[in-house]
Amino acid sequence: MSGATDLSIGSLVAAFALLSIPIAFSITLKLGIVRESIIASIRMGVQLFLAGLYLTWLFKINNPALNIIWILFMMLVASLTTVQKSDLRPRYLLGPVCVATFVATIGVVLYFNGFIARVDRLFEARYLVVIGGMVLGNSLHGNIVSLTHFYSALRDREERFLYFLGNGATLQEAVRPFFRESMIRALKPTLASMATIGLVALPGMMTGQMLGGSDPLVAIKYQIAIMLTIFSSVTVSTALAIYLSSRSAFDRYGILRPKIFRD
Amino acid sequence: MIELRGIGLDFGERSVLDDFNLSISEGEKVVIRGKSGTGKSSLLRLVLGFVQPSRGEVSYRGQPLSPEIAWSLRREVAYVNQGVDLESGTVATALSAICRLRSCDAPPETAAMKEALAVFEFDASQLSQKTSELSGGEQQRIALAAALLLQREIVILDEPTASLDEGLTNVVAQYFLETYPGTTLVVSHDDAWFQPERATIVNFDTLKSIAA
Repeated sequence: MSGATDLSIGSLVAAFALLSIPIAFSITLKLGIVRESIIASIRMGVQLFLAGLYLTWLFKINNPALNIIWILFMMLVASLTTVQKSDLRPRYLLGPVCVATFVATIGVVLYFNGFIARVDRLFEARYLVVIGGMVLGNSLHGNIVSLTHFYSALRDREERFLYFLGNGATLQEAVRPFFRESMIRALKPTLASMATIGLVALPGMMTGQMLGGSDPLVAIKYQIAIMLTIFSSVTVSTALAIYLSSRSAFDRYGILRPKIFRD
Repeated sequence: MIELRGIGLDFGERSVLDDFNLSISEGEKVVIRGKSGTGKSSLLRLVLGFVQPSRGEVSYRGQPLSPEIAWSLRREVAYVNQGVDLESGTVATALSAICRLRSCDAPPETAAMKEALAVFEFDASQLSQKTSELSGGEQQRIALAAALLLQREIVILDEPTASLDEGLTNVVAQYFLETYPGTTLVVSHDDAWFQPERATIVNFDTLKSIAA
């Protein structure tokens, strides 16, 4: 099998031309997302172009230390984005979210590299950066969903929380129903995509591998492994993010600090 | 047992309580009355350590309400707050959930649940009914039954009869002011609780006028 056909500048322009469809809809239906769509598309183009340049260099050098620095940088950006998108203050939440993201990503990616892909060099760019990026992207989404739901539910349904606290529950006991709901919300998208994968959608990684010339059966095996890896990392990172952040989000009386919210 | 000395409570610019004093002895019944917004519920929250006083001190068994004392006080309290929001599931699972907080590990017997529900005239055959299908008044009676099942020394009730009719309000008030052996602190605007011969009545409307 040969590699994927390279896309010319003209092809990319043709891809960007597709943007006219959502823009036309936005104008007609007054969705108010024209500016956002254009900015997001340009950002995507520039970011991916720069990432392409950087990854080419990174793959060529393939220095474990550089690979680790790059993945750490990605984790910091993911953690910052998580806290910002959750409408929480970085001062209280950034540290715990960073630790949760780090433990979940590094743990499962090293497991993937060592026990599934069985690569000789655990910190090889092709695996560490690429698999790490995929795992991070999903953990990021899971953390945003779970943290947003956990803290907003605690604020909106404060009476239920105080009911348990007032009846002698420990903090862990009082937050348990909120914790459970938040975990379910974070995991459901991954569960849904696992249940429909291959039937409804062909995921990006698998498609990319096949376009790159891989045997579909090899691509499928990788996809199975990566989905399970993602499911585990989302579980670990959401559970840890809530657990660790709750240590600084509540005062010593077990009351949620209003200061953790940005509004 | 519970003492509030010189309590002041401010929310931003607004002063909710000012130089408030109250001493509750073991086994005493205290009923807090007053209009909405006079700080009655805030007083309960102060006792439970949910909010901290801006001035003055809350103490429990002679010790200032530090975080450690607040946690241990809550383990001796059965608390029913406003707008009961029971866990989804059946009445039995909701009662079991709250009863897991008892110091003994054993879940409550079905007979004990039925007995507690019967005190507040709740049909015990409804133990398998879903909590989402219950009215506000029924949920309130389940929370009161849970308070009995917890078998605590102190009950703290915030508007426990707000969703009940007059007959049931009388039943609940009579039970906690006459039969219940423990210390009882209640916030209610229902007249059924106004029994000066059985309870210490603290009228927040009068307090406000004095403070003003």
